[in-house]
Amino acid sequence: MITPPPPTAAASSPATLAAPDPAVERPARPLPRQGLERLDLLLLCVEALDLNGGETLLWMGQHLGLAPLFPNRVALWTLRSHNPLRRACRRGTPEAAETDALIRLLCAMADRVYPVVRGLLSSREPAEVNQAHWALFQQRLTELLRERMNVRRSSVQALMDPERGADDRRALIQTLALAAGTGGVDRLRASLLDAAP
Amino acid sequence: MKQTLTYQPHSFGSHACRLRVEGFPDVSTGQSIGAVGIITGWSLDWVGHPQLEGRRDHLQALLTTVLPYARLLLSGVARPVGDDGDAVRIAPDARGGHHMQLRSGQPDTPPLDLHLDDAELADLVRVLDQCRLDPRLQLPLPVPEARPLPARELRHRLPLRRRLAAPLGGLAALAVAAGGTSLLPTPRPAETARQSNTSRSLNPSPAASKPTTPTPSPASSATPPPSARATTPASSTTEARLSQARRWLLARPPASGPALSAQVWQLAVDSGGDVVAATPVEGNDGRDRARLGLPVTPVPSTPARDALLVRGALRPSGLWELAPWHGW
Repeated sequence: MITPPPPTAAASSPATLAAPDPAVERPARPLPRQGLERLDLLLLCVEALDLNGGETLLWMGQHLGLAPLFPNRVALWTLRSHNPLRRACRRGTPEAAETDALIRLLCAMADRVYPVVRGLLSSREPAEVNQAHWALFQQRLTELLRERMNVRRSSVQALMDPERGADDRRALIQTLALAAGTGGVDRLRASLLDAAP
Repeated sequence: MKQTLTYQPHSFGSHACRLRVEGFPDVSTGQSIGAVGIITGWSLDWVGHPQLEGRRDHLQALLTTVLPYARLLLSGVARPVGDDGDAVRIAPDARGGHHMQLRSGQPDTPPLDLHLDDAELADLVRVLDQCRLDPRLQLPLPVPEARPLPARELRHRLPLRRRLAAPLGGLAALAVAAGGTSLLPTPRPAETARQSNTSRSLNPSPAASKPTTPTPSPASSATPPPSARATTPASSTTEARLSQARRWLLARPPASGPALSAQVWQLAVDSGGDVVAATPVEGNDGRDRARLGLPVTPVPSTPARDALLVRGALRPSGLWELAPWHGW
């Protein structure tokens, strides 16, 4: 049981009380190259976790009221093709409204597959079951990467590698877990907007 | 009427984590019956961990610690959030997972340490997200705004080799440039002085350079050492230039021989004090120039602007008496 600590400045200062509501929209910024890569890879992970992920993405977009931006499968593919790691990538930078809609779509999809994601991350699952789940995920993700990405890129090769890519795949799954739901939209957007190191 | 709001990571599946928030609507602000404006307490039931309870301040501390930590994890920055004295502190665990420390405000109460794996942390983040975004919970629970991280906090993403390549390359280029520059030969002082004297010549014609290399004569061998010429200070005043010209002439003593026919000369002295042209005032100069070590160039009718015209008279003692030229 926790007892009340002494009031801290962070808890009582007017500045923090006047902190902006997360639900309030902020001025949108276009995603940098690394952000586009990561966003598309996260969507690919969702497709690897959900066998019917491609159709579900469209259905979820319409459910979220994003039909004007993603009216069909081609529009969604066109937007995701800005990922430089794609086999056939598009030049230019997508508009901030489009990438923001894609982030919302991803968070909603992560919310949908959260039980699977949680099972992958849990250390309380039996080790054999956990390994089998990871192997299945790695197999599906590798198939999708080989189908859609430029496999000559070293980062794609690393992600497809069973050993070298284990940490990267776990980081992607952890990102899905922490960005799932409405509350994860701001966090994920901020992380995708990180400055290039 | 007391309200209880329950939050779970997911609407179905195992309820590994459940947050219950209890409170009352703040009727003084007109809140409806189903809302909660005053939190009387909360509890967090966690499978495999002791139940946590607390008041609104503790819920606020959980929000302001766990959610920023999750934000950092999304960027791959595993950094502790919260200080040792704070009610809640969470940090990455060296064994894997995360270490959360809950500190009680009661004296003599040891802090509660919890080891969470990634799934349990995600559960906690989800229930806290649901709590702060719940429209029924009508009281401010501020959390730090999620902001993009600057490049200096993401240096770990680059391998050490790539991080050090630019500064090491710069240092190597600087060392190579410095070494190459140190190998270049520096000009000797004598050559420098000679070149400067040549450039100071009044007449740009080839003949004007001859005073520095006089005609072969006994007097020409008395050329002052280059170092002395190089150290002669340039002066713009008449007296200074006269004294410099006097030294120039002293360095060329008249050679022995028959009596001179021309003992008074019109001399042109440049800004460095060198006699660059000479014209006899009387007598035949063809023989006397060489004996006196004077330049073969006669003083032009319109001398250069920086030339000083001097009247020079050679005394029987062998010394020159110089005075500014006042005309023929």
